[in-house]
Amino acid sequence: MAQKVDDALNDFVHGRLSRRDFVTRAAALGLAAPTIAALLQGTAAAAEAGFPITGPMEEGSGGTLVVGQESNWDVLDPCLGTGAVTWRTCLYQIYESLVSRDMDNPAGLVDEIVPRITKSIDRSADGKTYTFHLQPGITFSDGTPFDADAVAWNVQRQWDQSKLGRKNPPQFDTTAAAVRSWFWTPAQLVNLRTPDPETVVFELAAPFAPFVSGMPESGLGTMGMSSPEVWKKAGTPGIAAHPVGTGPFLFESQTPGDQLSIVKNPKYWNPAAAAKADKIIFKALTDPATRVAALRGGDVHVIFAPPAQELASLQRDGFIVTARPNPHLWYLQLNANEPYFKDRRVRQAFFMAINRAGMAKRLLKGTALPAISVNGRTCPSWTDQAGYPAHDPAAAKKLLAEAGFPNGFDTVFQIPTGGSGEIDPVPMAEWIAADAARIGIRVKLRTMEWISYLHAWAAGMPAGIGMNQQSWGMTSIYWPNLPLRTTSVLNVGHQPDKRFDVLLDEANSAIDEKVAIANYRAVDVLNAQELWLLPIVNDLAPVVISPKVRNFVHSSDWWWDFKKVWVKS
Amino acid sequence: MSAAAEDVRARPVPRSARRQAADAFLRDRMAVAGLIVLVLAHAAAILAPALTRWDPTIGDEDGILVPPFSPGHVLGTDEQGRDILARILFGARLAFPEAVVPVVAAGAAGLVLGLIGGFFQRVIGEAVMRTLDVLFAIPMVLLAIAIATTLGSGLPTVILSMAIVITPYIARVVATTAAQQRSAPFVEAARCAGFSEWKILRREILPHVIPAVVVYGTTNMGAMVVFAAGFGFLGLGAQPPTPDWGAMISGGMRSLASAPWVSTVPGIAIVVISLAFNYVGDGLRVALDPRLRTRL
Repeated sequence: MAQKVDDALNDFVHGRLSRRDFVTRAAALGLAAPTIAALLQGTAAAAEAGFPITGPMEEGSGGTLVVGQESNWDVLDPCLGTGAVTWRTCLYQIYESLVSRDMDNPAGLVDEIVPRITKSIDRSADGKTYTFHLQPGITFSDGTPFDADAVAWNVQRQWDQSKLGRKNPPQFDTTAAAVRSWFWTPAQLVNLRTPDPETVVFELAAPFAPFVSGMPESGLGTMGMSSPEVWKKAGTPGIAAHPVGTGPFLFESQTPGDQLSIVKNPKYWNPAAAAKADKIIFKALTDPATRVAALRGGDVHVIFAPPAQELASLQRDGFIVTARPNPHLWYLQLNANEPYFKDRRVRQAFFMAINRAGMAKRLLKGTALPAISVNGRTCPSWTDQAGYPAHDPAAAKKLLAEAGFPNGFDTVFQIPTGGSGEIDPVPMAEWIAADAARIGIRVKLRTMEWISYLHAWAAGMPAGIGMNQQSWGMTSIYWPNLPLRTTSVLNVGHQPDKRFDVLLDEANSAIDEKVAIANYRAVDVLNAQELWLLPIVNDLAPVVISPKVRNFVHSSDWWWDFKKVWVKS
Repeated sequence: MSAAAEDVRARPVPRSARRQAADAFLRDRMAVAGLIVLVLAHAAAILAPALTRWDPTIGDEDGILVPPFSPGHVLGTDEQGRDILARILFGARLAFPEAVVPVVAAGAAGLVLGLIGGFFQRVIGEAVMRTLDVLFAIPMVLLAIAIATTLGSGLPTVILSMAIVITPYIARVVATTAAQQRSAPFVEAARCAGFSEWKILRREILPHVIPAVVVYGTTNMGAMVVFAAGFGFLGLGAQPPTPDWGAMISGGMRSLASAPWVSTVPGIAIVVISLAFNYVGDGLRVALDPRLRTRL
């Protein structure tokens, strides 16, 4: 049977089998759903590191869940809130996204689109028209109806129609459009129709394979639906001041920078999926030691971003550490304008010098997995067959000598001192620098504070900087377009290879999903040869919970769904 | 013979006075101990490559967080598998310049500014002192961080910003001493004898001011070690992986519960070296101040 599973996996990896077909075949072979998911996403590796996906599961409800998170939330507006913390905190509990994934299902396929406020999605045969059928009878928590007009109103807040020679409606927001332009620009939406209150039709100029999967993506605003009535009464600031969505929780109050509370929505449209906890309080505890102390002291039930080195002692004291792969990728980009990196052998040598497995296991204490794809582990185009060279310092040294650098060279590595999803950037960069030094490459680190780093990073690498670092990713297959397309602003290393663009165009315009995925995998394979982007590790994003917490399921994405969680007193 | 008459000839400090100062210093056991510690630590910093076989920046990826007193690693290893003793030794190469250079630079700058402010006491002097007073209003660490953030992290930045923040303090010490001496009988006498202001400054005022600066400066070197560690802790010091004691402490905080030695060892090094500087400074104060010396 193992051989059959291997064959199926192999077919899946090489695009001969869709994800769904793979699952069907694996299930027919008698594999349990969690095993299938584990095969696809590396969950098995997380379990091996000693981290379950869930806490204790038990039927029940009630209690106030207190969550300690690593940073402040910003704007409570689904179009303007940026960063996973803002979405995770409040927005995902209050607002529902037009496109939902099964993130809190321990056995679920994490990239699968599931029905929620959208009942089903149809795509036309030419791949240019998407019809969204909405769940009937839903109202926003202010009592106004959630219908096709409300969806269109929300889309028009972020979809810039001026490029089509039309006037934008009054709710159009330039900031929202700017943070969402990465999606709406390539999607080429030309028409948005609402033939009846339960139907929304999106008409694109050309097929765009990542249309549905890309819609809920990016840490910069998503497709959360807010009530147009709030805006009509109080304008854009009103949306953030009084968030009104269709979700299982209602906004109660907030003290910016301190805490935010939400309560159970008693009139949630889907009683079967209603919130279990009575109330959730989110606390911003930016210092990791403070979060640990608050958890130990019983002040909070859940902490995000715990210090890796504290996990073992927390587990000994009865706390539960959960972890699960998500779209995260911690990666380097190399500067194509630096003479030494123009030679592919030098890039290969540098990559082969880095002991990624050692970093994940020892430095990061098993809270990360070595990355083997440009795609996140939850992405359907993720593959372990892209062919990235293995850690081999001896071979690396030889390659370096062949390329004309027997004594190595000097280079500069620009990194932030911390930041969203960054894990522990400075020690990780030190680890890489030490690995590079072993083959003779002298890497000098240049650290920067996160916000100034983001500006410097987005501006692209200037001469004199050999490499920089970033960490994010998407469950959507679209992601490789952002760092690897030669014309993308996030191609910060100025990689010049147009073959990437050809493959990405073919992937994006594919009508058949299998073709799209096969092309995205080909991008990965090409990068494994060219190595402009060096995948380093995938974070397992451990979370520590108190044993009182029930039905806590570690999310497989950047956002978290807390509706099933409750607290046993 | 009166003191004024003796000083008016402005002869060099008599040999016996130097002797007395040396004796006074040597009588202070803590000062001598401090000096020995500093000399040994300095020698260890210079001889670091000979004293350890480990590279302070490249660790052993198979031997991370080895506890102290393990074979091969007397003080253990950090989360990157780097030998902590090697990092302490090489870190001392930063700690000494960080302690001494800002104080010497600020001493020179403070001497000039303080003499202008304290001795001349005219419009320029007033302007200088009031400008320095403005700097007093800003907390020292905050000012240093502001400067370091503007200039970007690194050793030169640390030294420059520490020199800038302590200059007003040294200038204040100089100005006060100079102002006190300005109306002293021996200065009046020198003026009556027709000495130029410049000559009075050089031969009458300076010999009184210099010991004050030396004593104040030496005491401050201890504070500089702590200060520089603070910079390293905040990530404003030398760039990683360069061993910096402050950065070693903040790096070790990640594993404080499971591997406390990573933070503790550099912490002890900072305490020992800053205490040594302080005791030497105290000893010098007693030795160079004639009034304190006679009281002993």
